[in-house]
Amino acid sequence: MLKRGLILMVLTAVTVGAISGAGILHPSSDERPSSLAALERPGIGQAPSTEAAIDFFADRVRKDPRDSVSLTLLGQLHARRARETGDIASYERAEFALSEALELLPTYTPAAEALAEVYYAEHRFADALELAGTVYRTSPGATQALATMGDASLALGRYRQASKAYHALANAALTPPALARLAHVAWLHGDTERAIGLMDRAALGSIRSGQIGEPAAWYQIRLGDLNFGIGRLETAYEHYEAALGLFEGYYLALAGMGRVRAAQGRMEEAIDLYERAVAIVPQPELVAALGDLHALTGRPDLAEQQYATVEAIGALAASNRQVFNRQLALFYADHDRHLEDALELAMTEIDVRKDVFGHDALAWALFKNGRYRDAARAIDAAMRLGTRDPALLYHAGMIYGALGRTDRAMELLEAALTLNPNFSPLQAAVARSTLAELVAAA
Amino acid sequence: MVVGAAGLLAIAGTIPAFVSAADHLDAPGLTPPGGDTRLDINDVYAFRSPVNASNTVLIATVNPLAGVLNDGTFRPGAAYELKIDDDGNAKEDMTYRVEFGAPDASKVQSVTLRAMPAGGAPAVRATGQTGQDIAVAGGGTLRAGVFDDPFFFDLVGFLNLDFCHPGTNFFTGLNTSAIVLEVPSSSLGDSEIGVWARTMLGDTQVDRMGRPAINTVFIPNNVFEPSGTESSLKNAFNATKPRNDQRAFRAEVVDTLEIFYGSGSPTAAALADFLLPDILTVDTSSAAGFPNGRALADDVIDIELGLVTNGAVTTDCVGNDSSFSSSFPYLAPAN
Repeated sequence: MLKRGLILMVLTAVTVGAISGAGILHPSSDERPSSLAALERPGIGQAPSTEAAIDFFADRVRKDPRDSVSLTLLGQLHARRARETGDIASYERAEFALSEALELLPTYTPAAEALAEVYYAEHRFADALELAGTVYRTSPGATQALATMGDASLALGRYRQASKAYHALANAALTPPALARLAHVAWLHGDTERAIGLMDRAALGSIRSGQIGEPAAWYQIRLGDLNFGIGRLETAYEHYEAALGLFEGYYLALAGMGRVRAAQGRMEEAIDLYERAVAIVPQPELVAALGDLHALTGRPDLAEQQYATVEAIGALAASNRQVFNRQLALFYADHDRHLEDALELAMTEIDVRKDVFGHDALAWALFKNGRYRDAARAIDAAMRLGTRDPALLYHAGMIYGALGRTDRAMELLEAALTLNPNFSPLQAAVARSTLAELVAAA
Repeated sequence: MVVGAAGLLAIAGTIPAFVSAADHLDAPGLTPPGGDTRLDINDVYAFRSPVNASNTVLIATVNPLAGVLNDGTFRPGAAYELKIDDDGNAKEDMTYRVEFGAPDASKVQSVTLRAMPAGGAPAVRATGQTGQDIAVAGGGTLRAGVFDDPFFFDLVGFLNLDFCHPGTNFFTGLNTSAIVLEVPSSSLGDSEIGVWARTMLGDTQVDRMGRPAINTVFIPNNVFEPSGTESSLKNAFNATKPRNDQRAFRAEVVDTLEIFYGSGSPTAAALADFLLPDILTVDTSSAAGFPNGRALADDVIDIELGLVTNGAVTTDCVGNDSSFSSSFPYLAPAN
């Protein structure tokens, strides 16, 4: 108890230090990401409440229902709120306000661009692509529309189209969001180092331009994820911590920190961090991870509680399911529960979103349902770009192992564990034991 | 003035897309050029002090929607400058540079004013905190803080190109961050001066402004030259020095004016030569208002609308609704 309290105090002190610009005390390194260094200097603003801003503009709209500018700002703020809280209903509010704005002012590009982004966020990828495409065709200067075209194309598995859009975007304006998208493409194609470099540049640009709140924190989350994926645990932790400093109570930052602590075997800390994260936003993947940690630390009842929560989330409104299909499919497959549902969810998902991880989720669900050849086809599609993701490689290794392709299986499982030996609390152990079996039998 | 599609929406930043933790791979929306609204200049004012006819008041407002989408502070490490040209060559002869420290728990910041004469040594003329009147060495007062936004304009009507139905001031109830500097007119050099404001981040000029609405009305893209008709030059304009305005933008200004004055019109040409360089010219010995300098209550929109449209549109049917003060710092308190 005392130890956890001390750890919490240290965490808090470091976070406060980040906010006040007092500097995060870490050993210096030649490789220190430039964005982390930049966060230690003063000048970082704190974001005022999105809710208060929403009230402000909602009030203006009430007073003048034809104020298309306030309607647009209101819509954007609802969408930002959705992102901060995980409350998908806020996207519906955003849609309403933005559609209203466009009704009043059909040529108002910022409203159209914002609406296309909302469609994307709701996983209505075809709608997003269509609207963004229309905006871009009439306004070649509409770079946000171009970004959304790229994002939607990517989600639909149209990688060439996505790359084209992103490069046009980078040529038009090499801003942090453009850099982040280039980073993502690099990562998808297996060049994680390059992705990290680009994302750090993006993060640095965001800090220098004075961006605050959740959007600024997002870059640090991505850097955390990228570093975690190649086993750079302490660096990943620093980034997640920095994200928390930029956006107080950021659930993804807390979960990221928990993920690192779990990978480092610091289970009690990990559990505490995940508990804080899911208390803010009970996202299925995070709830499942918390359950896994309880299972690993000998608390099967608490684990089952979390797993039941994940299932309950899956039973909720259709809109929730659409956004969480993939997470639910993976949860079921990982835990060998409701395997038919896992497959159904994965197949529904691939209909909507045909990217690398859509194929991956389908492959894993097929594998768990014993359809190894179909799984192999799907995992090949998933690995087509060469993405270096431990979970992806692990899935592939297991599938090839089941098909008797021992050499390939060993290669893939080893690759997964080399990237990050502790990429997942439960699954990494399965990867290790399977690899050991294959090696013994070889 | 931060007006128009790109400007105001840039304030909000645009929405990032939501995804689940496993694949929240979607970057935030695009940040505005320059990125930091604390460095966006809204308006510049220059007028004879109503309290002391030998003094001139210079005001730069920055940070649109201060306090709503940002915390209303000034950016530490940035430079906020008021520039004075006293010999009519569009080059600054004096720069008043204001810099701020990091905000404390109550968002109060230290303020430092330096006078930087061209070709001379800079000298600190005032130090203090935001939210208080600070005496300026050599005469005058400085104040920086959050105030009611003095600007008034029917922005929605402008976007609809439809004024006076009935006409609403978009800026009612909004706040802005402002730097108010009152100094003896004699310290500005000649009585006929040009004034502009700029914000700097290191060596980069982020934004600059002299007269109201020049960038908004004349520089693509705008309501007359919307997206799709030609490439945007707004960033280029913000990064350019006034001494280069004629060379870089005269053609754009003439283009827009010719819509209303006719192709090849000598009036359009003459107006373009008046409007560029984008410097607010003022005779500090005169109490006359805009276009002689700009006082807080001057309806610059009505005047410019008439000038630009050759009398076709003369008003946006919106007047001042702020209660300015007749004493320093003249702006109305924050809402």
